[in-house]
Amino acid sequence: MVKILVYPSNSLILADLVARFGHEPLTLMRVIRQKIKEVGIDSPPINVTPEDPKRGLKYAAVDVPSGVRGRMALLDPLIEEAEAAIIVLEADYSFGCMGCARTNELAKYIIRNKDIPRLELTYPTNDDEAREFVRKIRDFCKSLTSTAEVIA
Amino acid sequence: MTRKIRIAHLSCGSEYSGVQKEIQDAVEAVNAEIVFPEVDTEAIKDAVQEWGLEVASPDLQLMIARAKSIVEGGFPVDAVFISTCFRCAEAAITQRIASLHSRACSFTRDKLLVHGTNHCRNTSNEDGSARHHRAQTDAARS
Repeated sequence: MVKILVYPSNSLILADLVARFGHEPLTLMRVIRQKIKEVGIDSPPINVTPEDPKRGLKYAAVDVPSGVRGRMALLDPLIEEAEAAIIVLEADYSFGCMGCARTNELAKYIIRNKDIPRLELTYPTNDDEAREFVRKIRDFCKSLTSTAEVIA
Repeated sequence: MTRKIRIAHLSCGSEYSGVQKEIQDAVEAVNAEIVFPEVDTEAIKDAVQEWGLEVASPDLQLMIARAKSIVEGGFPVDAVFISTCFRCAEAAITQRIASLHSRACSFTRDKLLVHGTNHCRNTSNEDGSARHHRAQTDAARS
C-alpha cells in the first residue's frame, strides 16, 4: 500500500478511487478532522490558530500572504507523507482549503519537485473522458503496487 | 430584546490566517452576528462574468457572488465586513471592487456600513509587530 497525495486535496472522488485500487489516499479531510478533534478548540470552526501561518514559513517566506501559509501548514503533513501523487488539472470549483489559487500553484510546484511517481490528468467533461480518467488512475495505482512489491 | 446587528462577512483566507476567532470575538463584543450570504455555484459564475473581474481564486469568486447577492437585495444585512490577506494583489483588487459596488448600489447606498481590511497585517511575526507598525504610522504622521 502506497500513500498517494491527491490534488485537489479535498477531492472525495479521487480519495475513493485511490482507496478502491488498494492504496491510502492523503487528503485534507484527515488533517481537518485531526484539527477539530484536538483537545481545546482555540479557534472554531476549524481550529486554525495564528501558529499555523508561522508553520507555513517552511514553504513560503514571511512576505507571502498569511492565508497561503496557513493553508500550506495544513498541506504540510500530506506533502511530507506522500509516496506518490495524482494531480487533476482544471478541476471544478473548490473552496476553503483549496480556495486560493496562489496556494494551489505553490502546492503543485512542491509536489512536482518532490521525487515521487506522479500522474497528471485533466478533469473529465464527458462520459468517455471519465472512463479514460478512471482507467489511467487504475493503471497508475497498479504500477505503484508492482513497484512497491519489487522494493519489498 | 434588541435585534442583533447582522454583519455580512466577505473574506478569503481569514480562517486559514488564524484570525477568524478574533473577528468572531469582536463581532460578539458589539452584540452583532456574522452572517454569510448563501449563493449557488451558477450564481458565482454569473457574478464573476457580470462584474467582469476574472480572479483566479475560487474563494474570491465566491466573495464577488456574495457581494452581488447583498447589493441586489437578496440578502438583507446591516453592514459588510470585507477582509482579505495582506499582500495578496488579486484579493486587494476584489476587496476594492466589492466595496465600490456596495457603496454605489442604490439598494445599499446610505444603508450599509462597508469596511475593508487586510488580515494578519500586524501580527507579531509580520512587519515587525503591531508596535513597530504603530511607530511607523506615527512617524509618518509627524
